[in-house]
Amino acid sequence: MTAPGHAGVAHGVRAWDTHGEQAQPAQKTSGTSITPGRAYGFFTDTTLCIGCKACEVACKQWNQLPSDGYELSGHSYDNTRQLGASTWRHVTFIEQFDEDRFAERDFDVFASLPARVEPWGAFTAGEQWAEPGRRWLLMSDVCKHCVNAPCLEACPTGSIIRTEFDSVYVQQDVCNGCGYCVPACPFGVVEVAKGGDGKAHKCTLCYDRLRGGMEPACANACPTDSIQFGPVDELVERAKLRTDELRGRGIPAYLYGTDGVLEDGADTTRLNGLNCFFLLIDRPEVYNLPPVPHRASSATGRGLVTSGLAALGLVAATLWAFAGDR
Amino acid sequence: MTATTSAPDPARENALPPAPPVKAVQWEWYIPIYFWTSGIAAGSWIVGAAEDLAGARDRHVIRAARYLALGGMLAGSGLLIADLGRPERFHHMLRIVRARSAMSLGSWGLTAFGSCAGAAALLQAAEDGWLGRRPRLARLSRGAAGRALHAVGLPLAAFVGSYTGVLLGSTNTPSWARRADWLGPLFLSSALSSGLAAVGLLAESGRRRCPISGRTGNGRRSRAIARRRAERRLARAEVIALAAELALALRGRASVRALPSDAEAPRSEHLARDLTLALGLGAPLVLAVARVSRRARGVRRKRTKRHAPNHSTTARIERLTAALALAGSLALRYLVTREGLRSARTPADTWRFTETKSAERAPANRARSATDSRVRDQVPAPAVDRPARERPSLL
Repeated sequence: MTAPGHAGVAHGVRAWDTHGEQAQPAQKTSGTSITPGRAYGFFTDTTLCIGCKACEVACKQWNQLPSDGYELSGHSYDNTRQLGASTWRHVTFIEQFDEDRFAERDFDVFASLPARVEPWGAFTAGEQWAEPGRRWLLMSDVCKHCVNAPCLEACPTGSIIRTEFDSVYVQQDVCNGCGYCVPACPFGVVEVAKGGDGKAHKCTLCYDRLRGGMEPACANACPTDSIQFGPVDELVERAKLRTDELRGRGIPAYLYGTDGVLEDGADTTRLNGLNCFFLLIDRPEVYNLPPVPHRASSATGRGLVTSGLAALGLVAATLWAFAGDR
Repeated sequence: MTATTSAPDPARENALPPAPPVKAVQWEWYIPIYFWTSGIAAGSWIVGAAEDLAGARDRHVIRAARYLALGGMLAGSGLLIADLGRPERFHHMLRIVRARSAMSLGSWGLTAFGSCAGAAALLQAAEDGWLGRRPRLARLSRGAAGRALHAVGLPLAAFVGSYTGVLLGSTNTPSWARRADWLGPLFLSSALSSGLAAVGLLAESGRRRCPISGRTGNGRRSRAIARRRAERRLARAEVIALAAELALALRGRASVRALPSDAEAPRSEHLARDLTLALGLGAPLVLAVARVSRRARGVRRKRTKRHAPNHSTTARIERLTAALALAGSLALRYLVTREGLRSARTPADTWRFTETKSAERAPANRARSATDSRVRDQVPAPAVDRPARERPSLL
């Protein structure tokens, strides 16, 4: 297999010719070819997620991440609990059921039956799965690879960089574990492996796989295409079609993280969009996502200005105090 | 059957997210001590520079300030490096300059200020005769070179004293991010007050060990006058610094109390906060004010008769004031850090913070985003009229 490589693809990495006849593996598995210089990301359609956690397993396996132990969280079927240094995919389980669901079933078995028997009712007119009070919400969460990434902006070593695939990547040979990226992230994604190797870790968008022309492991493993990988512009188009379709069926679907639009169509965030965005059918808080994620570095300039003014005042006052009594 | 339920309540137990939406800082317990020591270093430098540039150039004050600046920086740098996940890579901090990263700016600021502090301490050591007989260096230390160094280091010291507050504010920890504009000034005023206190203590002990100061007369009376005036200069500045610190800390307290996490804090923490404000900031402020006004009277009335010996009540009160101010400054850093940790671990704080942000930018959204699903409101009525799920009548 001696296909000519792209500029920027190092020797030793299997380079796939995206323009020639040689197909990349990603073209077969995700219908897209991977070209350096284009922005890639995930479109996670939460309405398709079945909570199988294949993405979590695939991520752990490909990236050789250590186990997090066997702790039971008590939160539904979610024992992964959160993203972290050794967890780069996390399936959030949200149970939304009415209080009287169990009482009803106990007293009247027939009550749980539909009023009219429609063989395909549940999938067409009924949409019971999307009604609050009788549904699961499932979401496979991941690093959002923000367009203006606060972790990257916070990193004082230059360890966190933007790759040729527009993903946000922590260079492990540079990171010194200062941990300032951790509170900078508006989504609680990146974490320093305290007690481990002492460095910050998070999703790499499977940088190594992208270099080899393969889609990320989680998207490859997702059995329902809830996680879709591709160029961000194409994904956004696809996601908008899906949103319109769901809305036509009466389901309040919307996209979280496209074009900086996070709330009511108003551009209210300075992250300027997320390369990994989500289709949600409830408020962002329900999925544990901030309604308006905050770009941490936006406070730095203003803080320095107020500090400078305070410094001028305090130093002048100190000089005055010292000059007044010689 | 409640077929048409209202929007699901996120506060309901089953709908609760399993973990907070943002992560708290993973610093070790001694990072607030770093804030404190670097603050003392920065504050000391400001004091030493003010004494050299505007004051009477009392060598005891300048000596204490220079050594404290270097000592605080060394201790602080040690703590910072120890906190790194990979301490041996500390120099990676100086790979790049990034204006958007308070940590990057701070690393460069610490390097620059640390160099100044090192140079000044070296000059001072030459002046004190620790480097053997170096009369030229000692002259430089007392003369224009020492003053130029103080002037150059002054903005750097102000930056080192305040950047830690900016660093905390530039995060997604709600308690800090909400008052991002005010943490820098708070930390700077706290640095100045602790620097004044530390310099006052060290200068006083230096004076006891070696009463002869270079510039003023060496008679007993002139020494006492020089000492009293130096103490009064420090006390005047201490009043200003503590007043600013107290005002900013009270403002911060109001900001923290508005957050849901504050209601979950144990009473002991509320008590600690109020004690810090009262005993760590308020009490030394009152004492410093009393000292300034009493000394003003005393100097005017009986200028020559007041030789306050070291163990007099005045000296004790001065030491108490300094100790309270130093302890208050340390406690303040610990409290601010703790409030941040609790806030990051409380989801309601993040929701409140991000909601406030959206309300600031788009006021019309607030009512909806706070009450009901903004999305559901937008959705057009379903094309198909859904049959209501009613109980089939079997009888």
